[in-house]
Parts: sequence; C-alpha cells; structure tokens
Amino acid sequence: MSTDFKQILKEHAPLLGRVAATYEANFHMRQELLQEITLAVWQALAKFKGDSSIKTYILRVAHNKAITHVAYHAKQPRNDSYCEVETPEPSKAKATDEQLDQQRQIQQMLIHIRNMPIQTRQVVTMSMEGLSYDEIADACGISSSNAGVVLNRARKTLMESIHDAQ
Amino acid sequence: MMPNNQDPLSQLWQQQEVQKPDLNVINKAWRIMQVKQKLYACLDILGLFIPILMLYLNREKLDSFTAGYFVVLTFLLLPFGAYILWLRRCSMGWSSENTERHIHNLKRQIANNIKIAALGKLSIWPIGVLVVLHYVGLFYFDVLPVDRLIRKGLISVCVFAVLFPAMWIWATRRENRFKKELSDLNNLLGIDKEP
Repeated sequence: MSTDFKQILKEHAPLLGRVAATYEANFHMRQELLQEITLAVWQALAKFKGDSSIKTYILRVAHNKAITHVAYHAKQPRNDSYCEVETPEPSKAKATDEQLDQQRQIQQMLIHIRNMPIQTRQVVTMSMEGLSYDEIADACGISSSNAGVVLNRARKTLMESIHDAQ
Repeated sequence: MMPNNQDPLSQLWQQQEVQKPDLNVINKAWRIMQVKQKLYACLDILGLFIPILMLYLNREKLDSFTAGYFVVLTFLLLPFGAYILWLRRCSMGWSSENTERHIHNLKRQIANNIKIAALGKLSIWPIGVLVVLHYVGLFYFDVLPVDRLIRKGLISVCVFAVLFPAMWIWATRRENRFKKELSDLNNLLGIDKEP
C-alpha cells in the first residue's frame, strides 16, 4: 500500500467510521462495512484526478460503497451466532453525566438518521462533515436548491428528535 | 452557499466515537482481491479455450459427426457467452460517480443478475434438446451400434434427471434472491416501481 494512500486513509479514518455508522446499526456489520468502504476508497484514490476536494471524493466513494452494501445486505436474515448488539458496551464507569447525555443524543441522532431515506441521509451527513451545498449537490446528483430543501427539512426533524431525547 | 458546520448538530456528529479501519486487514484484503481477479481472468480465458483444446486433442478419437457437432455448438454458444459477459460488465468494486448515477448502475446490475439467472434457468431446455439432437445424429449417421447408443442414452437421461432439476432450483433461487435485492433497494429508496 502506498504510504501516501495510507496517510490519507489514516487522516480520514474517523470520517469513514461515521459513514459506516450512518448505514449500519449492528456492530459487526458496521465493522465489515467499514473495511469494505476503506478498501473501496483506497482503490478509488489511485484514480483521483483532483476535480473536487479529497474529502468530497472520499465521501462520495464511501457513500456509494455503503449504498451498495445496504442494497445487498438489507433485510437479509443473520446467522444466529451473529451478535445483535448495536455498539459495544460504552465505558459507563468513567463517563460523566454530561458525556452520557451526549452519547444518548448521538445514539438518538444515529437512529433517526438511519431511518431517513438514503438521499436525505447522505445530504444531512455530508453537511455535518462540512461539505458545501454545491459539493453535496454534486455528490448526490441533485440541484443545490434541492439539497438545501432536503437539508433544512432533515435538520429540523433531527433537532426535534435530539431535543426529545434530552 | 455553505452550511454552518459549527452548529450543535455538526459538533455532536463529529464527536461520536467511531471504529477505525484496520489498514493491515485492508492491505491483506487488497492482495487477496488482486490474486482473485487474476485467477478469474485466467479462468475466463481457459473457459474459452478448453473446449476448443479438448476438441483438438481428441480429434483422432471423435467421430466426424460429434466433432462437427461440437464445433458448431462452440461457435453458437460464443454469442451467448459474450452476452453473459456483457451483462456482468458493471463491476461494483467502487464508484466515484454521483449517487443518482451509482444507484442507477446498481439497479441495472441487479436487474442484469436477474436476467443471467433467468437465462441459466431457460438454458436447461435448449441443453436437453441439444443432447437429444446429438443422439439422433449418432443414430442417423450410424456412428454407434444401437445397444451402445441406448446404454449411453440411459446414462445421459439418469445424469440429466439429477442435473436439470438441481440447475433449475439453483437458478430459480438466484433469480428470486436478486428480485428481492432489487425490491429491497427500491424500498430503501422509497420507489415502488422496478426499473
């Protein structure tokens, strides 16, 4: 593996983890998806032409891979031996009330995002990753105004769900 | 226009604890994938040349009818093989296209998989007809004595009595699985109609 690619992947590892979390609730499936996404991104990096920022390019490849993953794995019955935990048990002993509250809010946010239609999910998470409307629109294949409408609507319901969790 | 990324929602999103990819596992997976791709390419090439090679190597043993029959068959099956390859052309390794385009390709690939499975199922009948035609030809051109022809024919019937239903069940299951995948994807996208 090229050192540059390894460095880019290391820098964007948390971002890839967040994309995987957007599409998979199950801990083991999420790990599997994360490996699939990383492999796809690594393959795609060799073809990066610099038409967009590297972050936008990585997000686009990662979301596409995640969509392919959910298309092939959605509603498939899982093996009985498969662990159904959503996330490994957090270290509650060390966490303060504030941290626990934040974790609850993040979980609520993820649950809500995973219930969104794919396009909305992509628009809202790309926005939270710092992409502009134009970049989001380009990545999703929609108009900027449409991206704005989808984003504003999604943000509103997301904020409501988080406030409800508090 | 730029969304405000310092808002509480974005901050909360960025603060989530996430798993990180194991780059050593990725490196290993990539190497395995490369070996697999080379193997598949070799198998594709071998698959194309093996029947021709077998015919060439056995040309002394084969009667002229059987040799001619298989040569014609090989050339007739080439377009079928090419069509299957064409249906498989959309590789889903990775894609940097926009999501609309990616989803379109994804749906087309699943639809092609349904076609391939359906073709596999439908190809059972022509195979049966071709086997019968082969025996009729062997009888008509007096290639084999009748008792040997009957014995070989009975063996073929027994083999195909097991093989054909198995192929049918396998192809039907694959076809149903791909149909379900397409339906699930449409449900995820909030679309009821198939492409």
